[in-house]
Amino acid sequence: MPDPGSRAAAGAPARHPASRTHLAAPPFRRPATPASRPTLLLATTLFTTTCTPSPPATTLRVALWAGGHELEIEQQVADRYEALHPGVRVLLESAPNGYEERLLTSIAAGHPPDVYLLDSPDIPTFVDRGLATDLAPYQEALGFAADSVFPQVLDAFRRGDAIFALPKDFTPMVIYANRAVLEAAGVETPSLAGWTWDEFRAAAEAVTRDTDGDGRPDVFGFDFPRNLYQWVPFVWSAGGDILAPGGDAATGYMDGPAALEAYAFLTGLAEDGFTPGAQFVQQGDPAREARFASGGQALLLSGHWTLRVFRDLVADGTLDLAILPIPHHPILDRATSVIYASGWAVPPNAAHLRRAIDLAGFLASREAQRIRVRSGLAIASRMDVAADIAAADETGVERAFIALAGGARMTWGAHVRDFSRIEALAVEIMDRRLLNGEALAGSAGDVARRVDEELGR
Amino acid sequence: MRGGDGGGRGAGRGRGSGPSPGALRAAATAATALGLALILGVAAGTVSHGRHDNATHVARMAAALWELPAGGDAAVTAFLEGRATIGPDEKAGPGAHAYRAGTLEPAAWIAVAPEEPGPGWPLIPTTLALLGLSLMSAWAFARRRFPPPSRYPTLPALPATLLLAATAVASTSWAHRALGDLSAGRAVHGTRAIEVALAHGADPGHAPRVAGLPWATTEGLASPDELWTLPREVAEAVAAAPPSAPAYTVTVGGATYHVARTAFPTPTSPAPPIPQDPTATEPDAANPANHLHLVLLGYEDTRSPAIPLAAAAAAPALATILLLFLLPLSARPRALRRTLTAWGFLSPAAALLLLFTFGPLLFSLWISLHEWHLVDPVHPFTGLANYGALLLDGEWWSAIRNTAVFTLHVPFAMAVALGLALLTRRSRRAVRWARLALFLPGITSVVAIAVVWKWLLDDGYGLVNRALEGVGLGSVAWLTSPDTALVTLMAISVWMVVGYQMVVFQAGLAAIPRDWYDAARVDGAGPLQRFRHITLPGLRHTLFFVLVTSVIGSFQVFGLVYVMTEGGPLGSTDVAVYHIYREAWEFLRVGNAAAMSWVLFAVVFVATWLHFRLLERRWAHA
Repeated sequence: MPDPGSRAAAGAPARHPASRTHLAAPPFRRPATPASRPTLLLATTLFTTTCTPSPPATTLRVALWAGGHELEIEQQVADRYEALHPGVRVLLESAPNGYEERLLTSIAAGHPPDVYLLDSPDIPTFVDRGLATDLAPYQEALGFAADSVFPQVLDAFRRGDAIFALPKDFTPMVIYANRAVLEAAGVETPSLAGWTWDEFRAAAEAVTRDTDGDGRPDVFGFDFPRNLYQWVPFVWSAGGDILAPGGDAATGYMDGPAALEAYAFLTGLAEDGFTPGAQFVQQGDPAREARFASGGQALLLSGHWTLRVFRDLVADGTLDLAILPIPHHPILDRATSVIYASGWAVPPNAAHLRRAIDLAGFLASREAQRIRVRSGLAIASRMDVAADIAAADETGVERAFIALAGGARMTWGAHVRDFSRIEALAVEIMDRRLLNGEALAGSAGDVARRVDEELGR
Repeated sequence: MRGGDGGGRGAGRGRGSGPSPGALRAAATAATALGLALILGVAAGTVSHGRHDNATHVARMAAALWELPAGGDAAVTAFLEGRATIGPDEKAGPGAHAYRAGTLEPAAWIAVAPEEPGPGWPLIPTTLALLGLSLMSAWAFARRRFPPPSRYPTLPALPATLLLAATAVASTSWAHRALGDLSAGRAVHGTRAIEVALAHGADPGHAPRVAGLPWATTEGLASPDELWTLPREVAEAVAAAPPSAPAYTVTVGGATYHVARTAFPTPTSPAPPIPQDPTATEPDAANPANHLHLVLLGYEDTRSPAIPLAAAAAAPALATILLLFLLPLSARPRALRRTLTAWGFLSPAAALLLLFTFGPLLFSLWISLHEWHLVDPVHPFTGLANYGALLLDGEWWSAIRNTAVFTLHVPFAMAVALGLALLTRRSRRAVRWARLALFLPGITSVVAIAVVWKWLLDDGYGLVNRALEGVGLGSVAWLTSPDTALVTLMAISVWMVVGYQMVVFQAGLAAIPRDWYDAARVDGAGPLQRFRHITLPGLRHTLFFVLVTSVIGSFQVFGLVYVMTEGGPLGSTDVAVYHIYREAWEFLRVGNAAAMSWVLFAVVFVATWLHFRLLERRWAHA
């Protein structure tokens, strides 16, 4: 399964059932009365005999996972392309749920879309199997300048000189902080410069309290980051990693000292009651954002996609929001966050290859990105567009996101094939600690060994 | 032949109004002949398509050469000599658009004449087919003259089936050879295009791209996948291939990869830097580090006609068997007409079953015998390896165990449903409302139910735990503990199914004659005795039906797990169908998932068979 965090970078909130696009009811049609039937017949005859057929339009199919408002924004981008290219019709085929299944099925059936949205954890799955066209030779024709996009984002889609997708947008994982909750507990909001695990834990501890006297905390410091896409930056921020530099081994890394410290730090937060009970499902706690916004939680780990949920609350002053870096190990001086990105790719067997390449170029263009940022889901991959948005944002939140993207790394999933299996195994490490009380070294060692087996398949 | 050529009263009456045995035999022979023609046509068509496709690929190479700054018509001519036609408009035949640098509008159309066709028609399979057909016709004629008595009217279908199979195998072999030749030619064309590109000043870093082939590798590079990603096993096989051959094949995982080699100035070799003068591009061919290998997966794997040919052979074989099956009825035209009419009515449903049930079933069986990734171009045959791996897959057997435990809710649900059916069998208004309330979960979306229950059972804010705490009891980790999660799902499942089962039981109860109860009462039987000696025996068919269908249904549980627990915590609710779903759609191991599906089918089949074996006699025929 693709990393939900990265998928969400451009669409996860829109995949929530509540935000799905509902089809409009068909317009009311008055049934033809007997008196009107001759007129209708005459009109139909005249129409069919006098009208010359218009030239058939080229239809370009675009596969993406947008839903709700995001899909409306993408439709605006598609409409703009159609206006610029008469005779071309852009058909958005969105699948907020089961996107990868649908895309793979269409490719396997020999009927791929002309352009598809490629999620960073899916890059090896598609690129290594030759399912994405190298777009590097068309940069000049498309007006795409490699130095106009964030380099760490573009690198995810590169193999040597080849570029297999034109970046759409991205997000780093950050810590959202509810300043009001922190201040109520006497905690000074840290700065963008960074903070250590000790400071993070102290803040979580200070915030966690029982407000109604029922013996249970009602305000929490944090919520337990169970999934690999969430906790991997904590391992990096302890100076460790989950895989060897070549991505071909986990033993010695996923169960290495730095990783074990990160697991101990995170499970310690849960075991000491600074987080609500873990859900032990990949989709996470559905109430976490509401809890954070309502003052029930001080710190929230998420990407840019969550910002849209809070934007109105921030604008009307209900929520005093700060964007903070991931905390780092006390022995280090800074954290390393993780980046999730998506880009527009073209399958080599697209029905209209050149037109598809042209459309991919437009979808990644400055004009399209300026339209798209209205959805507020992610950071535009073009630096100039992102800078414009940050400059126009009076809250400073966008600037913080861009600043925190600077020291972030792309997810391992962008380089390791079939990473979803590793993600599925990795959740066991801390689950076994929290549920069975197992030693972290034991569960991490066992999972690392099984990941090695998967990597060797 | 029973009721056959000898005829009888019925046969005599109907003679002349139905197809004669000879006509049926002729039709069977014609079906075989058509099948043979179909097989040969599919084989020839596949190769023809491959040839056309190959020409298109070569045209794309030519277009890439045309697009080089120093390319144009001269480069295309150097590459293809007289085989290419360059013009402004799209012409008939395989070809490709060429573009000027920086534009997306086509500037020229390069059409390429396919290479000399060579063996365009499968001669040996055709000869085999004609010979076999002649023998069959002669045999059929001889049978008409001297009809031998036979108890097996469809036996003559055996030689027809063998002939069809032999022709299909021979045609597949012929097509594979022809497609392999095309692939080898395509690889060689690729190296030729690269040589022309280098001669026309292409940057060595980009020259391999004019070939438009999936992979290129050089021995001189530190990592064999520096240029383009090449599967590790294939790269190793290429590296181990004899360096002297300019074109060769390697077989990896049962798939054939065609490789062509050319001298090439690699970045790490001591060859001169990027040449400014095209004539200076003369790499040291004797240096193995300067060998570029172009690798592509052969047409014989990507366009293999094996499955279409198998289908082309199977369909006429079935038709032949069917026609011969009808042969004995030819002497009884009325029976024949009735049979044909019945088949006529059944054929739409039968076609749907074949296409959408048996077809996918057989296909999934085929998939389970392969290492099958949904989008990999080749699926190596692995025999029973997927099934063998399942034997050692602890996670899979854990899922089967969870499924079996989950199924234990069925008898409990049945007991509850039966009790409710007995309680609500009267037709008062309140009872009717109660029945409606109990039945509602059975017609509500599983996803909606799962979402609501998930909220109700949440550890922190769930209504159930709040209520328990309100009455002084502690909260329960309904879905977040490995000890309770599966039991919770079983309880929800009971709540979901009892309404439906109750309605079925009520129908069963209504079928029990009231006189039996009255008689029992007169004889002094109490409620328990009436239940034991009248109700239960009267419901035996219903009980058996509900038990079997519920067990099968519980083995297929998916929605609750998918929405509520995702198989967790720690795999405690990982049931078989959810496990199969993840294997196929998250981990993309479709071959494994297909094998799991068949194992699950076997488990359900055995469970159902045991029900029939152990209970049917006792209940249904008590």
